[in-house]
Amino acid sequence: MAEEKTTVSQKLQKFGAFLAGMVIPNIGAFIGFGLITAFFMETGWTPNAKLATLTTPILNNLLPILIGHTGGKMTGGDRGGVIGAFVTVGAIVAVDGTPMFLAAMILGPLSGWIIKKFDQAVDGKIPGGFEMIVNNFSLGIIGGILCCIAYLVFGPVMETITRVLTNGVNWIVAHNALPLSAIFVEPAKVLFLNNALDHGIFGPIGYEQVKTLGHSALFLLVPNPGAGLGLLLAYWFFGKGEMKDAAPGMILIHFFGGIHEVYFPYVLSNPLTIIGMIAGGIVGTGTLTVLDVGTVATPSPGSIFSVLALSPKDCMLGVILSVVLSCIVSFVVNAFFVKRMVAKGGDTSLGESVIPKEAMGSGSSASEESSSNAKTNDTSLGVDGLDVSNIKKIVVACDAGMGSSAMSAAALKKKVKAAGLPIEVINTAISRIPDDADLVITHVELTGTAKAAQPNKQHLSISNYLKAPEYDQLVERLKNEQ
Amino acid sequence: MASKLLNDDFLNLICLDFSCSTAEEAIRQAGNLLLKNQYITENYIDGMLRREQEHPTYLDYGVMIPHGTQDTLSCVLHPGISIVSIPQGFSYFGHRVSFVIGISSQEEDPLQELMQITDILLEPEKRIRLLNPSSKQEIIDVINENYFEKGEL
Repeated sequence: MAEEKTTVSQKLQKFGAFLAGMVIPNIGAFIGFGLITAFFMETGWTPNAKLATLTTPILNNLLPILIGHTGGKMTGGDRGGVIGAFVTVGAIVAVDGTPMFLAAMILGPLSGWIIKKFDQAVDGKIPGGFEMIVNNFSLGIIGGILCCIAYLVFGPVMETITRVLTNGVNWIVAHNALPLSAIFVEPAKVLFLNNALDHGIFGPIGYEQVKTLGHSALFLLVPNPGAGLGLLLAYWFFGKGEMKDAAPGMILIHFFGGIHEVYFPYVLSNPLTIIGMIAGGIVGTGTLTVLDVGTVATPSPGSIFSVLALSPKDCMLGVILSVVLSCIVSFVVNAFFVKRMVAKGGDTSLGESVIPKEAMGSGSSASEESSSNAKTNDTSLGVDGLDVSNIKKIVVACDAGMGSSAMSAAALKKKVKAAGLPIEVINTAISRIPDDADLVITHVELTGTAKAAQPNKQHLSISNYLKAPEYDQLVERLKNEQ
Repeated sequence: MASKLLNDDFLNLICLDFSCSTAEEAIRQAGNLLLKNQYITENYIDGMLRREQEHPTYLDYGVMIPHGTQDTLSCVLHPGISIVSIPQGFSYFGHRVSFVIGISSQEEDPLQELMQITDILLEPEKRIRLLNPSSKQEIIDVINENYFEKGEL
């Protein structure tokens, strides 16, 4: 079982989960941004020009920096987080007025990785007493250089992307093939280019159309909340675990609050659903084109309320129909992929990376009876179902953390030590499992509780605290694969 | 290096040749040893019995390790363990229990004697000596010898 067949779709899924892992911890800030926008924008519920000035800096600066920070932290720990945030600023400044999410997702993890490599290279070579100064200056110098590079590189890169997209849109409009734009709009959207597309490309062309037609379908290519709603509904009905549980809340934020960002991680972690998104987009935009309807400006945020508020009276029905149809199509197609993922979730060790570890903090409200939880590894597979490649800290947990887990941890520690593995083994109560645990071991009777408390971690069940055969298998695999 | 983990006071926390047919009697005995030696106050024993109802503390090798519940942690005066050996054994959820370790512990900080016992239980020869002691002193000796050999665990 040592070698895993990694198919392209598994790789994509892992990559998607990696991207999603940078976003999900920061969703709270996205929601905060969405709320401020929804309330105080000109088209908002309680317009307030002064408070509305908050939105641009939050969107363009704070959110990308947070993503860069999280991305850096994922590859390089705390220092990685610092440098990731730092370097992201280079890209932000390079392209004024565009939220550089994609750049943050590249630069954050990359800089985190670089600083980690540097730290590994100098590890043990720094004279005693100088660690602090070397650490601070190395980060400062490397971060400074990378930040300059990001500044110089990302300006032209983003310009090019924007130019290519603009040319594409112009071509599509010229050829009356607008519905097909979904083929590149939807993927670009979930890569967090939605605002760039919306305000940078479709907006300007759309306003040209409004002058002649009185309305434009271009405004709705990105903000139409139908397809996203369909996806979230599919997860709500057919999903499993945390993604299912989180879906109703996400629907509220997405459909009514207009923060589409919340569903992007869902697509990223199950990339095939992009097909459903594209199908929904094609049908939605197709409806608009056929009925010759649209809105008078870019609905921002892309909430159903702002979409309707900006629809002229004679377009209202057509716009609603477009939202409904794209929702239905996206729901039907995505239902298939969601079911497929759930069905496969149990027999792949990649299952847990659907939502990556740490992605949703332990404080997440979405804990559940997870004996039916397909995305954490299926504990019935025992040790074979685990992804052991990155295990550094193992927690043996019991209900109180006093007796059984202490002794069981001691037993495992003994084996880990005998194998010479640099792995930390600790014991706690289930309620106090630390966030940095990579593997949670519990007695088979308590695994359900442990999974509910820590749904995003890998779990292993043991049936005997001391003479657990699982411990020998685990140590054997750790020895071979680390 | 401290060569001894347990001193002779620990003799008072051991009961050899206990005989009983239910877990409750064994737990009360282990609890009473802790109580008499002022490791716990009386309510802790109720906690031990209640925990056993919720989550049986049977381990392996005929060993069980009763300890209190979250709400009786305040009854712990002093962390430590007591040992009750029951040569005849009693049956408990399909297991034969012959060695009961009562634990008095506040938090997750592992008790060194418990770590040593774990280590001993995983080594067949030492395990047999520990679980079939000829005297109270032998229990102390096995644990101290292991401690001397392995150091802090």
